Amino acid sequence: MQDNSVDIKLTDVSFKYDGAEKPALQSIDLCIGKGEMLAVLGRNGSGKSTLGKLLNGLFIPVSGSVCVFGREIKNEDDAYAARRHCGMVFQDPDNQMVATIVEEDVAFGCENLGLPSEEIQQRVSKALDTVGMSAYSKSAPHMLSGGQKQRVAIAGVIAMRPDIIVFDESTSMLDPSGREDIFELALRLNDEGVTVVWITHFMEEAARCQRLVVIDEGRIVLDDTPRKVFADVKHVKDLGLEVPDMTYLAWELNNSGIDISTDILTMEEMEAKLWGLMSGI
Amino acid sequence: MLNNITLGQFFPGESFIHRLDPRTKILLTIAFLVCVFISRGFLGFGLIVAFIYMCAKVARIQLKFIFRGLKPIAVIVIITFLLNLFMSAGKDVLWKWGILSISVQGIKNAVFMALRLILLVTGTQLLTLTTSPIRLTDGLESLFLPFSKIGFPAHELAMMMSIALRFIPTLIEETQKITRAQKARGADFESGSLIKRAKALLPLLVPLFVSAFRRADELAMAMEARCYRGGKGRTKMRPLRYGRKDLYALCCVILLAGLILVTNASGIGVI
Amino acid sequence: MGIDVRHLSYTYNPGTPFETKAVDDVSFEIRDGEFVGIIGHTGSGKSTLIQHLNALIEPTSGSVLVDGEDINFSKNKTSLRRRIGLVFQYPEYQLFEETVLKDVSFGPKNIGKTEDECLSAARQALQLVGLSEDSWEKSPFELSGGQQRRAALAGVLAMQPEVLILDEPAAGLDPSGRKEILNIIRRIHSYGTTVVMVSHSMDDVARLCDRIIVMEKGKKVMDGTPAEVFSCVEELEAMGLKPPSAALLAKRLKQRGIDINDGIYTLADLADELKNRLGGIKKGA
Repeated sequence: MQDNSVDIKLTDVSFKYDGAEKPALQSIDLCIGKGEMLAVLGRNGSGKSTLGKLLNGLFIPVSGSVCVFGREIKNEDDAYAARRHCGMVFQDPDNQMVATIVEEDVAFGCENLGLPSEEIQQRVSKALDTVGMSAYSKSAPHMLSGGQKQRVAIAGVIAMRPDIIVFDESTSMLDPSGREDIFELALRLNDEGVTVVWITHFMEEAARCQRLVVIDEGRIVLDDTPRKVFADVKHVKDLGLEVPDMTYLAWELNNSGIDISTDILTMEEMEAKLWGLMSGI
Repeated sequence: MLNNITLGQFFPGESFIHRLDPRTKILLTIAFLVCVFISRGFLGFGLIVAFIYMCAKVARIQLKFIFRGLKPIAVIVIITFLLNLFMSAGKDVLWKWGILSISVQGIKNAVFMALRLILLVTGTQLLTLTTSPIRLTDGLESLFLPFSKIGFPAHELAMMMSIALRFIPTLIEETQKITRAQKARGADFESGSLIKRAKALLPLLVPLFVSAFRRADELAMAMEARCYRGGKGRTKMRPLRYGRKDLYALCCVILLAGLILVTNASGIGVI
Repeated sequence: MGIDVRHLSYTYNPGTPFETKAVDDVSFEIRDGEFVGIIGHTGSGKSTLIQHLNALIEPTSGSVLVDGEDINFSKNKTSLRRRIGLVFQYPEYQLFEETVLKDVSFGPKNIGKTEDECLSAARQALQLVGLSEDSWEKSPFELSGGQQRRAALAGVLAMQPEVLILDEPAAGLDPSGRKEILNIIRRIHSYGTTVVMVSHSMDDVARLCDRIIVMEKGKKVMDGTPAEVFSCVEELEAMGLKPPSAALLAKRLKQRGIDINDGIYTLADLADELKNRLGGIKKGA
C-alpha cells in the first residue's frame, strides 16, 4: 500500500563505497513527507551527501530499501523513474552545466525526458522566469556569477517538474548574498508545494527549515524541529556542529543564570525576549 | 576574468545567413568547396570572390574578420605559391637557375593555386563566422545521425563536443589560477632549459588533471540526475527545421556552380 | 615589513567592450604585525587587489611599495613572494606532489633551500597547521577536505613569509573545519606574522581582525577598526554585506532605548554586556 502523504521512505538503509572499510551510512530509517522542508545537517564526511544521492538512485543501497513514490529503487530503471520525481541541485555550480547557452542547459533535462519541443520551450521560459534569470537565457554560463549559475541549475531541475528537489550543499560555494538568494528560492518552491531536502552545513539555513535531521558517522542522531534540536546546545556542539548565533547567545546567558531558554532561533525572538526582560527591571 | 573569450570565431548576428539551418550551411559549404575546385580559370574565381563578398555583406561581417582568418595559413599559401612558381614546367621561360625556372605558365599556376587556397579558407570562414559552435555541433550530429544505425556514435560525439566547448573557458580560468597559486609558492615557469621548463609544468598539470577528472565525475552524476541516458529517446528544444530560406540559399549556390561551369566551357580566362 | 599601496588601479580587458575597472585608485598601508580583514561583495575587487600585493598581477596604474621599493620593478620576484605568502581560495586545488611532505617542501625548494632545510621547514609548517605525522607520507589526495586545506596552507607557511595573505581561507568548510583553520591563522598571527585576510564572513572578520578594509566596486570605501566599521550597520547593508549578528542585535536593542555600550560586535562581548545588564534577573527571581 502506498501512503500518499509520504514521498520517500528509507527502511534500514546501509551504503558502503567500493573499497571503503566503514559503511558511509548505517541503518537509516527516514520518511520524507509530501511538502516537507527538511534540512540534513552533519559535518564533512558524516554521510549527508551520500544520503542525498540515495534518494534519486544515483547510489543504490547495499541493504535496506529506498522507496520513491512507492517504487523501490533496485536497478537503473527504478532509478530513472525516481529521478523523474526527485531532482537534485549539486554543490559546484560549474560542474552541473552541460550546455554553452543558459536556455539550452535548462532544457537538457526535459530533452532527456523526450518531451515535445513546444512544451520544452514553454517549460524552459517559465522555469527561467521562476528563478529570475530570463534576461540571461542566451548568455554563456561562464559569464555568470556563482549564484546565477546555481539559479540556472535550479531552473533546469524545476523545468522537469519534479515533486522533490534535493539540494546537496548547493550554497556552500557561494557568497552570503548568493547563498541567501538560493535558500529563499528553495523556500519559495517549497511554498508552491515542492518537497525540499536541504543538505547543508550552515546552521542559519537549517534553523529556517521545518524539520532537521542530523547525521553523524553514518547514522541519524537527531530528527526533530530545528528549535528542539538546537536547544540542546551542548549535544550539537559535541557533534562538531554549531548552533545559530542567537541560540548560542541565549545559551551563554542561560549559563550565567539569566532566565532565557535556549530555544531561541532568530534575532526577532531574542530581541523580544531581552526587551521583555529589561522592561521588567 | 576571461569574460571576453570567444570560442572559435563565431560572430553573433541575426542575418539571413546566420539564421540558415546549420545543416544547410555545412552542405552548402561543401558545395562551395567543390565549386572552387571545379573552377578552371580566373573568371570563375572572380565569380566566387563576388559570391563571398555578397555573403559577407548579407551576414554583416566586415571583410577584415575574414582576412584575419587567413593569417594562420599565410605560410602555406606562400609555400604553395613558390612551389608552383618555380616547379611548373612551361614553354616561355623567363628566368632559369639550375632546376629552378620561372615561366609565364608557372606564374599563372602559382597565382591560381594560391588563390584557390585562399578562397577555400575564406569560404569555410563564412561558415564558422556565422554559425555558433553549438549550432555547428547540432548540425553535424543531425547530418551524421543516419550513420548511427551502422554504429557511428553521432550523438555521443556531439555531446562530447558540446561539453568540451562548455568547459574550455572554465579550464582556462583554472589554469590561470593554478599558475598564479604555484607562482606564489615560488614556482618559475619562464626560465631555464627546455627540460627544466617541461618539469616545471608538473605542478600545473597535475592539479589541472585532478580537477578535470573531478569535474568530469561530478558532471556525469549531474547529467544522470537529470535523467540522461544517452541519445535514445531524447528530443530537442529547438529541433533543426529546413525552411524556405534554406531553399533560397541552395538556389544561390546552384546558380554559382552553374555560372562557373559556363565560364569553364566558355574558355575565357581558363588556365 | 610594511606594504604601501599607492593609488592602485587595475583594469581587465582594457580597450575592449568588456573593459572593467576591478581596482580603482586604492591606497592604504599595512603595518608590521597587523591583522587586516578585507571585506566586500563578490566582484568588489578584493581578490584582484590582494594579487597585486606580491606582484602576481601588475597594476594598470599606481604602485605597491615594500620596504619603500616598487615591487613591480623588483628583479627578484621569487624572493618577494617568499616574504609575502599568498594563499588562494580553495588552495587544495594546487596540491600536486606524491606525498604531503614533498608538496609542502615545494615552496622552500623553489627559493633555493637545501634538501634538509626544505624538509625541516615543511615539517615545521605541517606541525603548525596541526597535521599529524602519520599523514606526511600520504598522498595529498587521500586527505579529507579540511586536511587538504591545511596541507595547502602549510605549503605557503613553509616559505616562512613575513606577511601572509589569505583569500577566503574557510570557504566551503564545515563549522569545525572553519574553526580549526581560523585558529591556525590566529596562532600564526600571534607568532608575529602580519596577516591580511579576505573574507565573506563578517563574523570571522569581527572575531579575528584588528583592522577592516571594506571594498565596493573596486574602491576602498571604509578602513578602520572593527568597532568603527561595524557601527555603520546601514552602510554595510546597503552594500549587500551582512554585519555580524551581535552588532545588529546591539543596534536593535539600542533603538529600543536599551543602553548598550558602543563598539560591540562579537557575540562574546554582547553576552558579557547583557550579563551585566541582566545580572539582576536571575532564574526564578
